[in-house]
Amino acid sequence: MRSNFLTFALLFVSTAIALAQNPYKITGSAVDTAASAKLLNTSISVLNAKDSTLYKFTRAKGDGSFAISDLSAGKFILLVTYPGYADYVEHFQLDAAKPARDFGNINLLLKANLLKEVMIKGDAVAIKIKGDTTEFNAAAFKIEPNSKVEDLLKQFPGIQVDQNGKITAQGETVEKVLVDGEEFFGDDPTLVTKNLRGDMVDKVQLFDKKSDQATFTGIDDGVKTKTLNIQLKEDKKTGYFGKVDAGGASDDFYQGQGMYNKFKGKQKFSAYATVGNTGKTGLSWRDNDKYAGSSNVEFSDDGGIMIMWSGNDEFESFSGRYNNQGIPLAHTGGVHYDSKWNKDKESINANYKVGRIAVDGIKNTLSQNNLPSGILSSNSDHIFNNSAFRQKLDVTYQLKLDSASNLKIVVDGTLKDNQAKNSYNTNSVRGNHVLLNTSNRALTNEGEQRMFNASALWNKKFRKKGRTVSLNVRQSVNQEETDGFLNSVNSFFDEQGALTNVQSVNQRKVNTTESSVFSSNLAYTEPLSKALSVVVNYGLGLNNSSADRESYNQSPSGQYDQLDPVFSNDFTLDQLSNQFGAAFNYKKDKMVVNFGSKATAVKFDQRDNINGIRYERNFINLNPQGRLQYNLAKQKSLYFNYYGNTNQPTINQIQPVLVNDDPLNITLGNPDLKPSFRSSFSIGYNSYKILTDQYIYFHAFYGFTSNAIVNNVTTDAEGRNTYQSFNMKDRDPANFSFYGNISRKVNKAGLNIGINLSANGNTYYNLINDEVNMTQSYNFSGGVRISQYKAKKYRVSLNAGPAYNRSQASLQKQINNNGWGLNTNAHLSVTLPGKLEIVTDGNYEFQQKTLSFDQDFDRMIWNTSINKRFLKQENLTLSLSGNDLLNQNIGFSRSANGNFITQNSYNTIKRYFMFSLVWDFNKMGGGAPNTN
Amino acid sequence: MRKLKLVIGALLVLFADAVFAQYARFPAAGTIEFEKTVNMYALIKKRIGNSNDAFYQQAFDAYKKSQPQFKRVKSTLSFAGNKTLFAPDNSTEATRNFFSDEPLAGQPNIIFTDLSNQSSITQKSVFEETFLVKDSVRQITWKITDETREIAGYPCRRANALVMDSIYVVAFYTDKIPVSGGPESFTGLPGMILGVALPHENVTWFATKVTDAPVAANTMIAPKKGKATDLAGLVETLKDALKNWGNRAQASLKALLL
Repeated sequence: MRSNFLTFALLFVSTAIALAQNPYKITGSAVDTAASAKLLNTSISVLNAKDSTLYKFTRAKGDGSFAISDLSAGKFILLVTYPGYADYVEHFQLDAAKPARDFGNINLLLKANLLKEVMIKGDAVAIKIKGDTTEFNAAAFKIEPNSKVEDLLKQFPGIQVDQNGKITAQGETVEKVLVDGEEFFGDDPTLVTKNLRGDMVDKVQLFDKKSDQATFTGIDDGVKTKTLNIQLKEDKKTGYFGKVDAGGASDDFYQGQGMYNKFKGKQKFSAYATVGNTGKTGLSWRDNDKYAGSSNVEFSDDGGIMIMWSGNDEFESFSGRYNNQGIPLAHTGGVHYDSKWNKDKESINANYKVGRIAVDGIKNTLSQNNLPSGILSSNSDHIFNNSAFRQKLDVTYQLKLDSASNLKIVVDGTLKDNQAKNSYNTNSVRGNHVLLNTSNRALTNEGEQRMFNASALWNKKFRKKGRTVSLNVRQSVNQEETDGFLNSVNSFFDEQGALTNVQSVNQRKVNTTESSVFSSNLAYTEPLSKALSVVVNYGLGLNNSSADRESYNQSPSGQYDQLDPVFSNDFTLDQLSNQFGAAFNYKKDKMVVNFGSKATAVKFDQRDNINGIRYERNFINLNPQGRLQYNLAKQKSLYFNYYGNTNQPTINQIQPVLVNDDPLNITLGNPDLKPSFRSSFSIGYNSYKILTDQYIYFHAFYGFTSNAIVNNVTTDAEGRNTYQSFNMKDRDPANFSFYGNISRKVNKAGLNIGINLSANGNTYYNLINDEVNMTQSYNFSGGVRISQYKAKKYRVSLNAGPAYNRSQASLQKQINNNGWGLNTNAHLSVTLPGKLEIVTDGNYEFQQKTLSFDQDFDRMIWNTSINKRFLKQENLTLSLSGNDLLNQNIGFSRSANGNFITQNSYNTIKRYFMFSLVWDFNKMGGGAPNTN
Repeated sequence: MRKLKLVIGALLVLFADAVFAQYARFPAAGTIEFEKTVNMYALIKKRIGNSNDAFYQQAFDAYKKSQPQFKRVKSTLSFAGNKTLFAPDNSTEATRNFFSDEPLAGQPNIIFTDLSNQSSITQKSVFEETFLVKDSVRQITWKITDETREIAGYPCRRANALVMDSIYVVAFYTDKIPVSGGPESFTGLPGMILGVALPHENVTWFATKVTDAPVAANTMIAPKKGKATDLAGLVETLKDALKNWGNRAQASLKALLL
């Protein structure tokens, strides 16, 4: 068909060249002899006889005459049309012998006259009609695999298809053919060949379609067209795909994973398993999406995408990796099933996941406790062996009740066994390096946790645009039992470093906690005008929980059977909350404004069942919020947010449970606490230009807390810290952040240069031995990023910049942790011939020594891998990778919190070399998978 | 019954034509309202392809729950003599959603065409930029067929063509409006184009109303806003910007150059 096109193009060019001196032309005159009328504006078209492509056209003059000159030699068709008249068609030829053709008077006939002569003859074929629609089931007819739809239609009783593809049904010409509801025009085989095959058809429906106007207005205007709707079979995915990835490495490292997915019609089944000690604890988000069928994505009608990631335990992290502290060993697996039925109105999605993760590690913490009288420094070594075994089952059922309402029910249950062994060895010294205290603690714990959640969401849209109602109810039950031992020896020393006092604890701890939480929310949206709408909501919440903590001392017999009444307690809590809210939404042109507030009345009632004491408190929590967004242009917007919320004191701040797990850190309650109120403001701007790849983004945030609940810390002469919360009246703790980025493409080759600036910090106030302390922890950094990317060739990027850290406590300003740092990242990946790819990443981090910590920190982590792909589809990959080639990886962080400045370092995975083989397999009905 | 209807119809036609035949009205100026219909379900299905990511399938399911199969947008084509002005009505921009940036679903063009010298001025919004493309009108090799249908009360004849090497176009033109214009950049038939379908792109434009009345001269004004370029310049700019986009670039290019 392309060559045809070229021929025509050539034809045009050649005619154009010949045009100057060519004598080829036609003339004539359009008349209606019956009415002796000259037909002005008659359309005269000259088509190429070979393929009926349009060559030239004109309109007749007032006297009906027409002339087309500058034609070329050849065979043509003359098409003369006039509204209401029958077409006049004549084949003719122009050549050197006869360069001009005069058609003389062309007599056009009124269509009505013509109709009289050729009245429709064919008899209507008798046919069965069911209601308004006649439906043919394609499966009932024999279809050759490569036959066209027309061949199928011909088999249906009452339907005739002529050689031009014209379809007649029940004696009437079918005016409209729809395919899956969309009009089907039929292909011109000389231009395109994408035919609908007969075996793709599921059903054929024949009905009288009302005019679009009638469908729209609901008023039947009597205009009906015979319509044939061809319903295609759903693209049923059948087949399977999967991945096997196995790697062995130096230093006893290994990892392996296998995944398998099978489609059968609308059913999907998948299973996966992973094992390894290289930090992988499960599927990555991407694989999770493919194999575990995440049901945690929500799409709102206005384009929002919400990805809910619980991520609150080690089994469900976004990256499928652990937090890098210690050496992990993980075995995880799962199965997934989903299916849709009843015309996709109902669907089910079920997952069962099982896994065990064990992490062994060593962590060292250096901390500086800033007191009015000086500093205390402590050095703590922490050894941990933690493991957890978890099983989780979740089922989601969705039902489309009708075109305007949906119901979603989610049920999940989890069983989890935990084992934890922690031992701490801590020394604290005074500012003059004289020993203050030492602590040796060992804690072991075995726990069993059961969780169950059920929720239902119903929503309905009303006929009036923008009016909706939704109801969400949720019930959770959580039970946990732990059984463990605490063994601690704390020794205290006087100013001269002589031992003064030793405290030992050797107890068995048995805890049982239970909670049952019900929450609900009913929301109603009403459009007040075209631009303004309001959402009102009401929510009821109930929380019933109990905590029974028992501590037993060892009796002379060696049994832990003597209840320690001081550190045993039994609390129950009943909390009732009623929430009302209203929010306005204004949207006009480029402006979107939201503002409103929620108010929650909370009544809580806590009972100490051992001492018979009851604490009842009532709170009103306010939650005002506002947002203004101005969409300046496509991909360019400016926004401003305000968010305010009351923070009611936690139970632990009001009436803490007495715990002696760490005798050097003790928490007391304060029943007089008032709620605090936090306000935060943010402003942001972003602009992205696709054509120049220019990206400008900034976001600034400021928040402060009035009447903040902060710690009053009393550190006694022996170094024990006693914490009690209180409301700070005059000083508001605050935090801020800023991030700005400008980047753009600077040349044709795609070199992209950007700069970024970032700052964040917080100012915190608390009382230490009755003196006010202000802790500032600020971080400033900036960087330059250069990158270049060429699809399927290479990607290179370099990002580097300085950082300045300011963390100091006002009480001991002279011993601060202020200092400079440097952060550098580099990435290079190159695709070489022979299906070879090299990827290398480097990260260098430096932190200057400070007055608090007397050592520079620097770390260079360099990872490289070489991948070679095999097979035609490149679905077998052999990789040689080196992790932390320079063997410098250690876990490290510095922070300031309260009156403490802390440095953590911990062991983590260091250098290893891994050899791995990855095989992606795929056998799908639809061919090779889409790789982008 | 049918026969009776036919006879009545024929009589009516006869009567009408006997009176008006020689005075058939050929509007030289007027306004045509077009409705563009996009089969979003089909476009999204194509975008997803045979990707195995559950994410896209979920997005599509969510779309189907809240949005109709066909997205409909309006535009007008004004014509006076040999000049036409095509302008989309983007005032009723539907709510945004995950697939609303589907390139073929938008209406980025305001097109002024002067058929007497076969030139056009197109104000085209491409992502964040507006271009003013001055070039000759697209040359389309139409194949005339004998299939007819009535659109907005006008008898139309079908013609088929290929544009941009691979896009199959079905157009319906009427000889009753002696102006060789049409919606978007489709022109070159012996009468006004009142319907265009791109069957394999799942898009159609059909006239819903033709107003046969003179058009105020001050409304037939070529757009002026935008970065001046010609078609070749625009193609180069777009190809450069989209070169690392993979398969999606083709869909975007097709829609933006149409």
